Amino acid sequence: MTFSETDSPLLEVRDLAVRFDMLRRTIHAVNGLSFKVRAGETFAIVGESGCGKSVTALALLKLLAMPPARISRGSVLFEGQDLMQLPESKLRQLRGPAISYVFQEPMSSLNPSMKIGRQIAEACTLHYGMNRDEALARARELMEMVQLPDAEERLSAYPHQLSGGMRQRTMIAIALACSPRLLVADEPTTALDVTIQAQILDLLSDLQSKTGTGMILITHDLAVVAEYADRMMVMYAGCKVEEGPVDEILDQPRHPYTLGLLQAVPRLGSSLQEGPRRSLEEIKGVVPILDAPSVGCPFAPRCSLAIDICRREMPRPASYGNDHHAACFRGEQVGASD
Amino acid sequence: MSKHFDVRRGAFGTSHAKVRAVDDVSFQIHRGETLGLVGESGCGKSTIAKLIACLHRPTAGTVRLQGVPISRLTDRELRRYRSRVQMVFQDPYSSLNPRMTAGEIVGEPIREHGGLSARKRRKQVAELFQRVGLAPELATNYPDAFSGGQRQRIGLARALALRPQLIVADEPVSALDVSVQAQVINLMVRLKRETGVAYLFVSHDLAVVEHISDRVAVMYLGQLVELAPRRRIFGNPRHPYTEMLMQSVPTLDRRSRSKQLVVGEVPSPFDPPTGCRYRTRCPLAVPMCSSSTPILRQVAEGHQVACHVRAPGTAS
Repeated sequence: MTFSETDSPLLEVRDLAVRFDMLRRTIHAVNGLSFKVRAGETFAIVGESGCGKSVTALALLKLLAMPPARISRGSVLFEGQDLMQLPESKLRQLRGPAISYVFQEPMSSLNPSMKIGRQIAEACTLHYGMNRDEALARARELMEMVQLPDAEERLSAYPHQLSGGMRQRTMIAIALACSPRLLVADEPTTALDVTIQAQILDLLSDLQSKTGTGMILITHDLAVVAEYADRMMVMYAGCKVEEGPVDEILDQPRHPYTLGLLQAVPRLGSSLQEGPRRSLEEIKGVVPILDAPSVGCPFAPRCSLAIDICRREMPRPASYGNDHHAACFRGEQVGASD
Repeated sequence: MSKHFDVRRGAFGTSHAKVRAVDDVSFQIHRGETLGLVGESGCGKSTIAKLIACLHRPTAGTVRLQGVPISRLTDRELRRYRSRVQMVFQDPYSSLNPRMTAGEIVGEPIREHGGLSARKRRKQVAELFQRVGLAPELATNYPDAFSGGQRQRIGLARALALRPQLIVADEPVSALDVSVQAQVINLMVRLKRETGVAYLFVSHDLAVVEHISDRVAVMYLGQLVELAPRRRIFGNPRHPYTEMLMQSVPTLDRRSRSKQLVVGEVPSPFDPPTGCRYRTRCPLAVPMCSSSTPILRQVAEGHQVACHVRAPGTAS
């Protein structure tokens, strides 16, 4: 997919910060995050557990339980309108037609006591005021779109009667019911086997190219990003550390954490290369506990390139051309010794 | 003959519903080698792991350790078997007793089997902690004070406590983040080099299995479909299921996949297809595949495939 630079973004997040007020401490889950998603593109958010990627996704439409969560600052512009300023009733109207979600666990997202057909139809009744028959006809159409086999029969099936892959297809059908402009897929295939993962991701990218929906794909799997996303953002400890076109970042990462992630995963086909087995590159240490605002770069304690300034000051994003930014004082040195 | 571990005709059925979770599977694990076992959920790989760790009894067939079938062992001999075959589990959060300190968890098998004095035991626990890269001072902490990666190190230290010959590791890194996953994989490789322990490494992650294994076995719906040294299986997979598995793994190289190859879902193990169980998804299936079950046949040195088309038999 190609875009012109003048395209106004579908979604623009500016300086978003999310806190969780716990009993004795405050967790700084997302810290001053800014990014843009353009219409029709797949924008991947990558990071390890606890980096704030899911919290960011849920904050877009205020789907977090508040309290304990609190959006302490920032704006979320969707087609120019700041969602953070809208009342709950307006937000509810946007959930579905504007932005809809597909989550990791299809079993816990579906209502176990409601037939599949009615769950898909529900969105059409709510948002378009369709009557029962119209909505069911639309459900049938959607089930065919997501390639649920034997659609007619499945309409009256309950979630437990479906396989994990079929449940995820059902979730996608529900998410697409109102033809959203932005689809947020939060680890949509993490609970699935690889052959089913491939089918679901292929389905999502096919549907996306047919409907022109923008997509935020949240994942911990860089290989999934490599195959399915146009642009990506890497998060660490609630901060954006790198952002840019997928090809460029995979080719020349400018943040030591991104490079670390790329080198830590074993690659398929590695045994076919000549020479002895190499050990995987480790990222030493563990992720920080986010109970205080970070002084300096949050990755500095684990970073082999860190110098004094990294521990004192938060690095600002440095540009590496063509929309590629990395928040690192030493971005030029990343991967230099290779 | 080298000494080896041998699983023969293990057919496992639960009593509530007859699922032939593992059907007619035979393979060997050699001293000091890592055998990777891959397949999708429900293919029976965890059942195999538990059969070998003697947490399940096979319905038919036997597991042999160095030629001795475990079904013939007396209770005392079985205790010894369990000290020589240890297990590491997937979930580092539920597999450690939250009421025991890390040191007690690691020292428990020594206490049960070794009968060392408390002082000697503490010394051995400290050594084990160092071996897996944990500070011995942490031994007095409870599991909830440790991260996922550290917990998996505790699990490995405990498994190593009795100097086993085989560690059965069931998805040991699947619950970990990639940066921590690399630490644990490297640790497992180092421990094998230092202690000569063999691994049965069960995983759904092909790239991880390729990285760590010497040989790889692929399972589908309770049966072994292919077994080969890792370079052969990743360089020249012969079973159509192995091919599809490899096609479906996304890679960083952004190579274009032949997507049409990845189709269908695993049928129910309650009612598996007749003949070759993969035939319902197989692009190569011929009529014979529904009438007779293919057996593993050698296609090259150490490379076995169960497929009527790719590894045809002379007569059947």
